[in-house]
Amino acid sequence: MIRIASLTLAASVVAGLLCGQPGRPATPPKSDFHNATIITADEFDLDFGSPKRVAIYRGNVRVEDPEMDIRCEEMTVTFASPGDSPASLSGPAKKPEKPQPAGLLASGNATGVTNSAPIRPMVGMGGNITSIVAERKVEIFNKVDKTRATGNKAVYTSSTELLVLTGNPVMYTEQGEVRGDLIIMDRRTNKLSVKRASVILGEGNGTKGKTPAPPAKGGTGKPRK
Amino acid sequence: MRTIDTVRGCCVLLWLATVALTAQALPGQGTQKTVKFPEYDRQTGRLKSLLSGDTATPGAEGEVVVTGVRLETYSYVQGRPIVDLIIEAPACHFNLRTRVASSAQRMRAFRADGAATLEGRGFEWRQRSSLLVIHHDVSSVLLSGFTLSTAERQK
Repeated sequence: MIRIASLTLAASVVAGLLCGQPGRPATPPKSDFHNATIITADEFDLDFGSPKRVAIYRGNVRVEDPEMDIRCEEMTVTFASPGDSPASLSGPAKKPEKPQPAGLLASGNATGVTNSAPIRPMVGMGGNITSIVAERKVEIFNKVDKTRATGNKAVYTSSTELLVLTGNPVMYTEQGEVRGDLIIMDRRTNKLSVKRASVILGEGNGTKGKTPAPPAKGGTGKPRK
Repeated sequence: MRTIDTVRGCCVLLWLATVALTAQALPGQGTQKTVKFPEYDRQTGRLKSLLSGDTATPGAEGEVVVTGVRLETYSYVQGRPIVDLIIEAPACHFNLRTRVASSAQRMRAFRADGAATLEGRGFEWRQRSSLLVIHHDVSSVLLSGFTLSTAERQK
């Protein structure tokens, strides 16, 4: 077991996994039931009062989505106000850049692959979501890259497409696990950054049996197309 | 001849008044059919939501028991009302004073375009603040958000 407190290495392990998935869908889903997101919980609040439009799921919250599953104790979804424009929701458009190898992505200097195609909205909802906050015993299973992340709080902001995991966040992969004060996933570039990171590589890291098996055609280290 | 016209006019007025009264369930009356309880935005005067039912039976302390419940919330696109969310339940209690509908039975909510459905057991709808609470066994299927997307609003 090797323990390294290095942001670069932490990012290289996970960014390679995140970015090396060929054919990862970045286009909006077909409007059929198979692409639906199913959310179950003990209790639910939906506030239509203007200007706030907030849906809160409480107790044993489970989200089953084509891209990722989420478990937590409370999830708050904030919808856009009627006056918000689609441009303001999706944030400023980034200029498309050339694909970079995963190693460069992890260096922190190079920029990630940016898709000009629109990103599928988080947890399958429509484009009117401004933020999603998952709290308490948060677990995120990424079905695409077969990773699992845990923490006490996860915040997704649609304007930046950033997913920020806090509260003793840990990301488990087949190659090891990454811990830090803050794990930030950029859905636009597929870049991952970790504040005060530590990485545990190899077997015996306590992740055996927790992380799903990688896909048959894993693309570790390859740039996203 | 004038007397006949006067009597005929009174009959018409009486009939219209009867129709108007039966459309609203009022305390102290018997079971009413086809009831509607609208809620308007106090600032704009627009219809915010409409609770309707097959029947309404007066209960205790300003409550009515509504069966065949259907609740519609509205959004406005360029001034035109569009049905946003539809909530259905077999029955509920509706407090005429607080404008709160509640039920322990199963309920179902769905977006008018079918893009999202929501089911659960036991709910409370606060009509004035437009707040929906589902108490147990919540399950939602989302093809889109719960409310109209921004793009739809701007059509």
